[in-house]
Amino acid sequence: MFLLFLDNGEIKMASTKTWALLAIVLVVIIVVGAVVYYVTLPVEPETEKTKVACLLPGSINDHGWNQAWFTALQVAETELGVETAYSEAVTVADAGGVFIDYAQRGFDLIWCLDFGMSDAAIAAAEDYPESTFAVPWYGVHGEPPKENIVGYVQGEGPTPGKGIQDASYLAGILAAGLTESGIIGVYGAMPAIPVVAFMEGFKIGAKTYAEENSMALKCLQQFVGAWEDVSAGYETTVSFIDAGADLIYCIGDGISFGGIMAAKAEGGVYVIGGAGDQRPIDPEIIVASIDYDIPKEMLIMTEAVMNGTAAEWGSTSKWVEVGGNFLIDWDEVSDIVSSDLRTRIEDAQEDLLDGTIEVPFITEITPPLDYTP
Amino acid sequence: MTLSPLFSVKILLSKLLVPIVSVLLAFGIGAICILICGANPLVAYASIITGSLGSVTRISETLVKTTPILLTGLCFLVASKAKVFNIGGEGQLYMGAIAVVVTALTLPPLPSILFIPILMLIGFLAGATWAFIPGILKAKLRVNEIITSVLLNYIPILLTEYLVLDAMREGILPQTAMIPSSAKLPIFISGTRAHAGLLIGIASALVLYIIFEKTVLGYEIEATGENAGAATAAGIKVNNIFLISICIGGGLAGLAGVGEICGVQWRLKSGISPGYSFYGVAAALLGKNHPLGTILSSLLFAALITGAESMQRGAGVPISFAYLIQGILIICVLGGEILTRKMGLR
Repeated sequence: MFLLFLDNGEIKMASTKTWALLAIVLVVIIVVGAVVYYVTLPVEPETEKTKVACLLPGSINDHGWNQAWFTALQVAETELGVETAYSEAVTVADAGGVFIDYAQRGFDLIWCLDFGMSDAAIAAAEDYPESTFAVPWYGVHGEPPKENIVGYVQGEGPTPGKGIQDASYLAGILAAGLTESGIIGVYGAMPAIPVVAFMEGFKIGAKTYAEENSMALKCLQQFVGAWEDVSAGYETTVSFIDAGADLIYCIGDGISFGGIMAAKAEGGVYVIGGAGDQRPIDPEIIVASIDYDIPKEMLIMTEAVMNGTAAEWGSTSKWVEVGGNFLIDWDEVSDIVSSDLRTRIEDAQEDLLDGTIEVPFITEITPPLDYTP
Repeated sequence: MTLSPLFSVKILLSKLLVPIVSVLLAFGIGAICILICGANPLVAYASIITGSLGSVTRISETLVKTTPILLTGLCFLVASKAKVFNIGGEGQLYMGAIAVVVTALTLPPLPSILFIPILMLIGFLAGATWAFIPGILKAKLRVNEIITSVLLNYIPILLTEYLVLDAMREGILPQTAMIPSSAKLPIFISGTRAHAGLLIGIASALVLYIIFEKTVLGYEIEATGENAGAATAAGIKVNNIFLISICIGGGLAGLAGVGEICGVQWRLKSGISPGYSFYGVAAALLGKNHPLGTILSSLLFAALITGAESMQRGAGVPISFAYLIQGILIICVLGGEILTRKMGLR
């Protein structure tokens, strides 16, 4: 290892000992600078605001689930004046410590935003009764009510017409109406119940449209096995495209992003986005998005914590639902959707909301759709 | 034997000063990066310190992470003493975890005093068996163990995915059932997650220290690593040494899997290790490939990981910068290693 320097007009190289000396000098400068800087640092006063934190499994700029919750935090901060914090890319292995840390720092509401972290959230809730923990799907399948654990769900039962299966049903109609090859594809992260319900709702919607129009339709399906793995989503989408699919619907975080990248790279393929408005990523590829109203969910629960009513939710296993506009946001639908198809979907949306049609909430995956009239 | 003499200036420089300067330099460069991202490096580093050592809970979280880093660090260390580079600690950790969960859910619940040693043995054997594959390929066919051990990481990770999604899935979530209570490692700081796995890690380091200091096997491993040709000429069966060292290492990584299952997660699920074994490699290097040094460096990396989460929360530094600092630390450690050699300090 050498350093170049001039000696009487001649370029010479410093020895490794000079390097070592330089490194030590640099360290001394940094340490002295740090001490001076630290003693002049202003001290920020403690606040008494309600504190809300989110543990995110992925990145806040994923244009999906994680970004939607980050946005929701900002909404809560603006509208309710709460103090917020978040942790990105929290792993299953690290989650326990992060929950405990937030609880110890006096956070009043802590959102667990990944199924894999649920155990850690429930364990932390046991030790820190002063904090309320929002845990996905807690209580839906008979988990015992706890004062400081609130389950939250996307759809199922409590909100007819606004469940995850309902939004996917509309996406299925849209996909079947747009495909030219007669082959569409859907993939999710893993066979957790909400993901299955989402995929099955899509297949039901697609089949409904195919039956109405006497068209042959295949729907490829796959579980990718991960939420955040961009390359896994990419590879799955490429395999769908190789099998003839020209419209892809995906739910997940990084996997969804990977699918969009693959569709862009391969060309001639459209994507329906999920878990937030993903059209800004690429409006030419993404024809529509299923948009969760996560800020509303955030506001409901934060207000409950601020009003001291959060314990009622936990003790009764009531669920905070993803409410509001859980269906396709028509302001953000691509121009390639014909007016007939748009009308068909709008009718279906009305039927869902007034209960004329009810999409079953299916929890076990069924074989891929292969419909021939 | 190269472990004991500590009194020469050269050794002091090599063993202590260079690693310390490397770490400080890394933090200095990291501070510049944090400044560039618009955050205050002192607040960030203060968050790391308070986040990893600021309370009993934070210390316990650091200790929780120290355990797998230490055991996988020892996994790398023991093989690298024989100049076998086992980068498959991650897969060996997962194999240990899988074996433990399968055993714990298959056997009838036993008393802890019996159950935990059985599970440790099973985990050790599972990890060692997985390490045996690159070991035997290296010993018999001279296949590069770096490549085989890295590639063998993926199989147990994907096998875990399969088990939790399908074959051993319990309930709506992708995870197995919980292991019996008697299979759980005791918590040694009440109200925290600090479990007895750390004691297993420290005991393993001490055993390795004794092996390298006091036993013929330790001598043979080091002699093989120093000069395999000379070791062969001296009658040492170097192929056996390759195999033994990598298998001992694999077993230790398997024990890391035992610690994660019986001490932290209590069931198998995806992502139980966020790449602990790769931190383990860096810890072994920073610890100068010394078992006791690796304990300290594992503690440092664990503090850095735990503190990085706090840095994100406390100082608003994006998590990617926390990873960046970890990367800079590893580069500086390796740079210090090269500098040490260039200066003839080892």
